[in-house]
Amino acid sequence: MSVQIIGAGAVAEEPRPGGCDPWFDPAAHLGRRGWKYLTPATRYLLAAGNEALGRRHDDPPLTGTAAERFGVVTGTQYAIARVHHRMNSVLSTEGVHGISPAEVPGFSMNTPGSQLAISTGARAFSVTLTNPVTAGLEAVQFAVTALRTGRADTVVAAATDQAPEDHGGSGEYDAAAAVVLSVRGRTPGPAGAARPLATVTGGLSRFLPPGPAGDADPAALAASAARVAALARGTGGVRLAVGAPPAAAPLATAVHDAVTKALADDGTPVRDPAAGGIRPARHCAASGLLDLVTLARAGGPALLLSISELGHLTAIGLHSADTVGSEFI
Amino acid sequence: MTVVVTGLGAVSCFGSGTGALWEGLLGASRRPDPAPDVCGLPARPHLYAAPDTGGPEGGTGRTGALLATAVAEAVAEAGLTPQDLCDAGLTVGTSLGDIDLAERPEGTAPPFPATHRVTASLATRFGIGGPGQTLSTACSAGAYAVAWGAELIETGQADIVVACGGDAFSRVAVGTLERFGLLDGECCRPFDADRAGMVTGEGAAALVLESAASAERRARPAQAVLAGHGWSCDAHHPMAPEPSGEQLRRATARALAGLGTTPGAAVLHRAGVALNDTVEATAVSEAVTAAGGTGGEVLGYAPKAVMGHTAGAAGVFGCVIATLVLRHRLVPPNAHVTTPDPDCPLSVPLDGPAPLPRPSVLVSGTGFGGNNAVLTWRAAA
Repeated sequence: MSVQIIGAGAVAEEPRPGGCDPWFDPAAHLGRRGWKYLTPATRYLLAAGNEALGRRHDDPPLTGTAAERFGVVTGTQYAIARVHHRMNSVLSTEGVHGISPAEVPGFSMNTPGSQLAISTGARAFSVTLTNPVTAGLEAVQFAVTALRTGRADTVVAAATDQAPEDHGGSGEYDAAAAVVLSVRGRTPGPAGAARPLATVTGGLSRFLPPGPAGDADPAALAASAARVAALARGTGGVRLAVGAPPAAAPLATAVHDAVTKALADDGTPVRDPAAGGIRPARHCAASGLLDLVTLARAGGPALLLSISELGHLTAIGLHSADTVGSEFI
Repeated sequence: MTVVVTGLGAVSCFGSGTGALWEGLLGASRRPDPAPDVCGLPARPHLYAAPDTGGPEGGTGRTGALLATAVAEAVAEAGLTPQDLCDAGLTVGTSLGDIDLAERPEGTAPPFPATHRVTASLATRFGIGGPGQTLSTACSAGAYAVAWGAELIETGQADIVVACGGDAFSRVAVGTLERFGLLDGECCRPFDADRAGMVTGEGAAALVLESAASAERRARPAQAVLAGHGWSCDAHHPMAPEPSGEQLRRATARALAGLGTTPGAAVLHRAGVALNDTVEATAVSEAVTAAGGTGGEVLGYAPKAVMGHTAGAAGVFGCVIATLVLRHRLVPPNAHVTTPDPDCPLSVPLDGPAPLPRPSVLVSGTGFGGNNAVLTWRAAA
């Protein structure tokens, strides 16, 4: 079974010295109506999801069998942070009557993903994953697994976050990203018969708790690196990109070196090392998926890892779109 | 690939341990206590509170502490060694994570603490090195955590998965639910015709899921066998269920297809919210009928009457209770029913534990966003 990326979309706030203007114009992405009461993270997700699916926000949702074969999986770590912070303050100052009915749905981690499911008509499933940093790439792993087990024919794997503070005040920035994944040969689904961007060779998730010096247990690290390198077998060489927040830099370096060695042991060369390497994950749980969108659009084999300072590691392997028969690992 | 249960853990308003849980369910008398905070309301709302299970460690909040208690019990019962755990998976259902870290008095904590790091905390504490995900599909998060754990095993990504769920008291959650009339001021009474909403509860539950081959290799007895699981999304409304229940019925049908027979009992999501309760019972009954049985042959059970709605833990509690029902071949009585709901097509045991008519149990989970997951379990051979 071969899973392909048949669409991609992204919106991201980039660091701008002294910039205080809003970076995202919802009307430009979603039209004039239908988003006023949605949280910023939900608006970002709808924009990225619609772009990936090649649809407009006011297009009708899928119905019938097509809807039942279409799923959504969303990564986020801060979906409720600001809404909760405000509600908690209001409870202390005004009591519950200070809470508006319109803001209540925003107090649920799954609301961005649920709004995307409602808007597009995704009835196979709508699942939200919430591990810090890695949830976005985990969405891809989840989607590939669900496609493999026949729970859907097409899945949007997405991620969205509004950083806790505006304009990078916490060192993190707003973003959403989405890819549309489909099984080769099955119904194209809502994205239509788009030309695929890439084939997903597989995905995996491991946990490597950093020790006191920030690195991982050597045996566990080597075992995980070997599994990651196996995602690149048969590619003839990959770009290797590791995304991690600054706090995870020692772990990311250790993982990068271990995977490089495991690839060498497997006889898989690392291509264009200057373009890969360790990338700063500044966009919360959307970071890994943003990198995936970039790599998929660039084309060619790639191995992408997302690492959190807590020790979560998620890896996704990509191959050229015309690759047939890649098996899930 | 067959997935079995080899360990259980729970901490709830009944205290720590699945023994306390089962006794509490059989007792069918528990009522909620006043919540620890007034939640911006005129008086303290109700809460089925869990006991303290030890101080938070390493930045973990109350939910993380409850989860650690439940996971420790399940891991011990399954006899998992550090070597077993280093490749095991970990799936955690939680709605709000360690939300207490973000509800401390202003100025005593960072404004945006990391609430959703419970999986990393558990993985570090227990040395669980395989795939680890936190699932937050609102109130069906626990059901999805178990289903995703099974999916990891069924696709060969893990032989063993610790699937768990937990949520603790949140003043914002309780205040908001009260503000919009979703809480019953008396207690949780899901099968009573006069039910008036949910009552929140605290707790955590855990299952050790394992491939049958792995359990056999480790010589651990299977306590229950996963027969099937179905997923669906209403794609209808961010908070309310789709009234026809079509998608929940579809998820139920897939779970029943794996079972191949009418389940003896159904541990329902049923939380005392009339529309949601009716949609769920009708969907389950219709799916059972479409598979050749009748709703009246199934004993419906709503544990939230005596332990409250534990949010992201609820679906895992449902699976733990299903396993206990299969172990004891009994369905606990439904509590706090004065006038039975006349619209429920399932049989509803009220007066005492009822013998389980067939050795299989269905567990349903629904949540905000119309996120549905249904699992079916059967007794081990």
